[in-house]
Amino acid sequence: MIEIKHNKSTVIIKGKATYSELPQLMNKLNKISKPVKILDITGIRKIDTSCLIFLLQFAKRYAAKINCSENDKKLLEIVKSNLKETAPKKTYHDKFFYNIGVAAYNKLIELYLFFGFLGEIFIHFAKALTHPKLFRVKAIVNDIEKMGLNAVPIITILSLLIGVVMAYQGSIKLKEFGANIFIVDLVSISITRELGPLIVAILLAGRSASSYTAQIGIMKVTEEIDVIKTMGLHPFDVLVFPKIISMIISLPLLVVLADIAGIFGGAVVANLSLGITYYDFYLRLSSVLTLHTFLSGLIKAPVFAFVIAVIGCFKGFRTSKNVESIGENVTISVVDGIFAVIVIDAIFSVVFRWAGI
Amino acid sequence: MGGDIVIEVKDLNISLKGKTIHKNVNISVNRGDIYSIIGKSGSGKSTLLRAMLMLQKFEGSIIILSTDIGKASNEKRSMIRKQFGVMFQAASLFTSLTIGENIAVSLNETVKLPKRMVENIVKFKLSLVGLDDDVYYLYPSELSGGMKKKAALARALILDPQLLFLDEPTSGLDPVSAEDFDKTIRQLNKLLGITVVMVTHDLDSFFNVTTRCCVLGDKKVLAEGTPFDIIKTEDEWIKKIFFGERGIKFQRWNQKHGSY
Repeated sequence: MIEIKHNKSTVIIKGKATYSELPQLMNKLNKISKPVKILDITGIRKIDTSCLIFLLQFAKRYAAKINCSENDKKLLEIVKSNLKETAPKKTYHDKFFYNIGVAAYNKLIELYLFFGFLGEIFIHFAKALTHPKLFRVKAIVNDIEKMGLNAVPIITILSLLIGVVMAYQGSIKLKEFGANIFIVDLVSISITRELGPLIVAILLAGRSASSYTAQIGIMKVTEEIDVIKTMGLHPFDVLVFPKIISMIISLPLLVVLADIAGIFGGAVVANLSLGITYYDFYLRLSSVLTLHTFLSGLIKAPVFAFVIAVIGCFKGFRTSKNVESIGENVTISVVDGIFAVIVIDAIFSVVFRWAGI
Repeated sequence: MGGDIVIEVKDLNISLKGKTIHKNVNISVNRGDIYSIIGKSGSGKSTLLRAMLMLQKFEGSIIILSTDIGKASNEKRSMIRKQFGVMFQAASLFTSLTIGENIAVSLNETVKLPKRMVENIVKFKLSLVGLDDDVYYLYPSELSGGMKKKAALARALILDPQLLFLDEPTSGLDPVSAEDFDKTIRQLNKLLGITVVMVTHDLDSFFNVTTRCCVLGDKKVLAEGTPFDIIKTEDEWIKKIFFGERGIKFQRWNQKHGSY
């Protein structure tokens, strides 16, 4: 424990003075308002550098002299020689408008870099077309398995359930009008045109974009990206292209699967709650679901795939060399991926409507 | 207080995944020692260090500051840990914190101090290990390997530990930085009375700073004592360690020329 005696212009400190006693010491000494001439610490049993730093600063404030034992004098010398008064760096932490400005500026920079990244991909892609060897079939197939094939169960179940829910909600109203058979129109058109592609894209944005970002981000932190570069390879060839291509291949296939599963879910509910037989459902379906309805949904799939893969990879490359930024970028890549998918979907809807498709 | 034993390892047995790493290891570290643990790669130097740091399960007893850490309660163990300063081989700074924040972590966790005071203490430690104030605001990724090591040393020293554990402190440093590092360690040992336990491969550094050491090999301690005691030991294994590549080259040369 620490004891402090203050008489006249002398302060005597006794006891143990280490970092754990420092708050107490600071508290007591800072209360002294009269000038101090001598600081006597000969009675201190044990002192550490953090306390000495404070005592030195305290002594300096009053231009006081420090009395200490021979042993502590050496320590004091070390502290004295290494201690520099530094002004604290200006921080803008609580400047509201500054923060808004910085955030807006960073977003702009991010957008600018994203377009740069996109451009780089296109230029590289053009180059790769003349050098087909740059497409890594093995990596692409591997990626299709991981991101496409392994997503089959979850996508089947999800779209089946979406079909079931759509048909079930619709059947209540349709029954009132006696327009039971229109359940086929409702389920098939909404699933093939909108819900199928959207569900698959959102799911893959969560599943694949995050894993792309994490993979590339960690490779950046562990300098594996630099290793790839020094081997004379381009990270785009090794990491980005296989991902984009495998996404563009697997996402449309998954959309077809989602369409089938969703319509099947609708057919089951139509049969159970509206008494439409599977054969009737099929007959109606073949007249309602034209090829161009089906394709107008499917055409969005490669675009979604491209955007999701590019955002995932881009965020991976944007990771700075610390662990926290990996987590941050993974989150952003998923959110941005889903956001982009929905925005693009909206654009497609407007364009299709406008073009009369 | 000088001269007493701060770390005593008695009949230590460690096995990892069924493979015996240490068998009946006995060493002791005195207060004020700069104690080096040397040995071939894979001889379990780091494992021994990890056992002392309570990161590794072991059989036998390790007595640190007169407490048997194998049997001590959790409170007692964390009290002893407060006396430790540890620097890992890869520096292992928290990448998401600045150097200043990195160094201040254990101080901030232990006591509540005004920001300015913490900053002063941290900057003092930075200066002590020979780093500029500028690095205070930098992130580990912006530092060179040697600076990272120094920052890690500053972090290890923040609470003025009694015991400083260093895992290959000079690996990856250029000779001049390594020399500086040795000087810093010697200075800390002399002036602050810190007992240093280190694992090292660097023979220059070894001869520069060590006051006592032990040689690990073949699952046990081959020799313990001052560096000169060790060199004198008539053991093939130790000679190999000390004369390393040079030793092998010399033997080859001998075979060629037929004279020893």
